[in-house]
Order: sequence, then C-alpha cells, then structure tokens
Amino acid sequence: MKFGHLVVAFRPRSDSLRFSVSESHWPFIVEGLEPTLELSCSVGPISPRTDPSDFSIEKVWDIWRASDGSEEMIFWRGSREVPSWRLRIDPSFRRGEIEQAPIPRYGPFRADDSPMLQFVVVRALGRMGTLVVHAATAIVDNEALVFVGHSRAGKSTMARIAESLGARIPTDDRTILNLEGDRVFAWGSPWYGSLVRKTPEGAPVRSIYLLQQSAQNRIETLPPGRAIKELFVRLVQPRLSRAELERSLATLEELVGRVSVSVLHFQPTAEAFRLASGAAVPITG
Amino acid sequence: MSQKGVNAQYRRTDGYVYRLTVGEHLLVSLHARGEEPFYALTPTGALLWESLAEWSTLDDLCARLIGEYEVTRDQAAVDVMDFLEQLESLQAVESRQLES
Repeated sequence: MKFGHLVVAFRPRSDSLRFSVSESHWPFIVEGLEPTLELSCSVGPISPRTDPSDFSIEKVWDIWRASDGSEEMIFWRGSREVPSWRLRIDPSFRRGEIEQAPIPRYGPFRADDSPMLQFVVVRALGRMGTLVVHAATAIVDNEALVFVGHSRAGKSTMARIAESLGARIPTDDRTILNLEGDRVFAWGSPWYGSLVRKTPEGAPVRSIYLLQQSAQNRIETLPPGRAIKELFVRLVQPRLSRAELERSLATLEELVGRVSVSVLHFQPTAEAFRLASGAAVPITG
Repeated sequence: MSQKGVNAQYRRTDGYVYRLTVGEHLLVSLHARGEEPFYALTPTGALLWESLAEWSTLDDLCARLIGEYEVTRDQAAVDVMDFLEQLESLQAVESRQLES
C-alpha cells in the first residue's frame, strides 16, 4: 500500500498466509514499487510481555524500546488482557515483523487493521519528514486547499461544500503533507470522516486553512510561529520520539515558509469555500 | 522545590525537546497527550536550559547567567530558582542532593 510517498510492503512469513484489506484501502494498494517499509507478517499466539513498557496508551498499546533503537509494540483489543498485534521494527523503520493474534472471525491477516496500520504509517511518514494532519483536502485547478481542524471543526462540511462546487476530495479527515522542491504537497489517506472520501490523489498545496466556525466569513493570516504551533497540535503523529518530533517541527518550519497558513472563519456556505479558493490576498491580517 | 539550594544539583529530564523556532525558544513536551505541548523560554531560560544538559549546581547556573548578562549574583540566584521551580512543575528538571 502507498501513502503519499511511503510504500509499505506486507510479506507473508509462510506460504499459507492470506491477507485481507477492506474496501476503504483498495485505492491505496500498489504493486511493483520499491518498498520504503517491509513488514514480515504472520498469524499466531502473542505472549504479552510482563516487564514495564517505555510508553503506554492505556488499553490501546505499549512500546518497549531496545538500546539499539529498535521497538517492540503490542496493540491491545478490548482490554489489556488480550493482545491483538505485536510489531517489532528496526531502528531505521525500514523493516519489521508483525504478528496478528489468531482471532477466528477475522480469518486472514488484516493488513489494514486499526489502529495498527495507521500507527505504523504515521510513524514511518514522520521518519521521512512527512506530516499527517487532521485535515480535509480539496483539489481545485490541480492545487490543494487544506482545511485543518480537530474533530467537529467542520472538515467534512467544508469538503462537502467544496465537492458540490466541483472540487475533488482525496480525504475529508486525514491529509498527508510533504515537501517537494520548493512546494508543499497534500495527499489523501484511507482514514476518512463523515463524508467518507479516501483516495491517494495528491496535489501541490495552494493554501492551508485552520477551520474556525464563525458568524462571518473572513480570512485571518497567521504569523509563522503561531501557524507552526496550530498545525503541530493538529498532527496525527504521536510525540513518542525526540528525533521524530524534531523532524516534524523542522518540516513545519519549512512548510510555513512555502505556503500561507490562515484561519478561515466560516459559515458552512459556498461563499466560505469561494473565499478560501479565490482569496489570493488575505482579507484581514 | 525538593532538595533545592546550594547543596543540590539539577539536570533537565528527557521529557522535553528544545527548539528555536522562528525566533522563539520553545520547549515541546514528548509523550503527553491532550495537554498544551509548547512552553516558551526567554533567552535567559534557553541559556539555563542548555546548561542543564549536565548536572549543575545553583552556583554553576548563576555563573552562567552572570557571564552572559549584566546581573548581580543575588538577582541571578532569584532568577535561577524561579526558573528551576517552573521546570520542576513541568517535570522538566530533576535534582539530587550533594554530599556535604
């Protein structure tokens, strides 16, 4: 599967292993590309570790870090008593092993399982200096308008409005952002919002807007320092590693020098999207 | 502040990343979820943060300030203690008592 420029290859550890991928991820399946990250996959019983983990999100996952920088991670399902996945990954995040607990009703290896795949992808992208942000993206005239916001900020609403006006929507919930040459590119992801838009399409970014529902449509340009902070707190990437965090900040510093980042104070109307898509000059500063 | 004073040493913890971003000295918290991740440092704070990479006494930190800024020893001590207390409230610094 391909996410932005990240290619994740799932290799069966045995000939009998079969994979399943849900329909939402089908557009992201590619063949014949050099993988960025190779995961050797198997299904089998997972013995939970009993030693204290280095970092834990209760009832979701635990991470143990080895002195060589490699990581072992266990994802829990339902309660901490039932491990569902074990991921071992090398320090470069180029190769890993992943085991799925044999839960009968799932049958084959579920390559797209959540939160496992999303966690692996956002970490691997972060290592590449690529960001995953809570944002919808609308492509107009082959340029991307990125609408950033936490849950219920209006991402899917703005995406729905944009689509009704002819924009293509690669994602209405999680946008992948990377630097290429002197531009910033936005890409779709399989992780969608209430509009359920999920394609791998990408385009150079024209503008980034933080969504702020308001009584009046207007654009407020953000100074670079505030833009960095506002985008940082809306990243999907976890703050687990010093190197990854510094890379995210470095990417954001570059990004705000290449594209405008503004607050879009908006009512959920076509006028708000027209303002965002046509405003070459900010209305208010 | 526990163990503070002339007989203690201080060192920053691993829970934060320092970065000079667009002219602003920032401490960014690692690991924390759902909390404000950014804390701004003054240039003086950034200087002390750099010094706190190694175990440092109050005298070490005051000397660093006095070497860089026109400040009295007494004022430097007040500033350093204020800064250390703020860092301790963020669990950004640890301390240990020196043997007397």
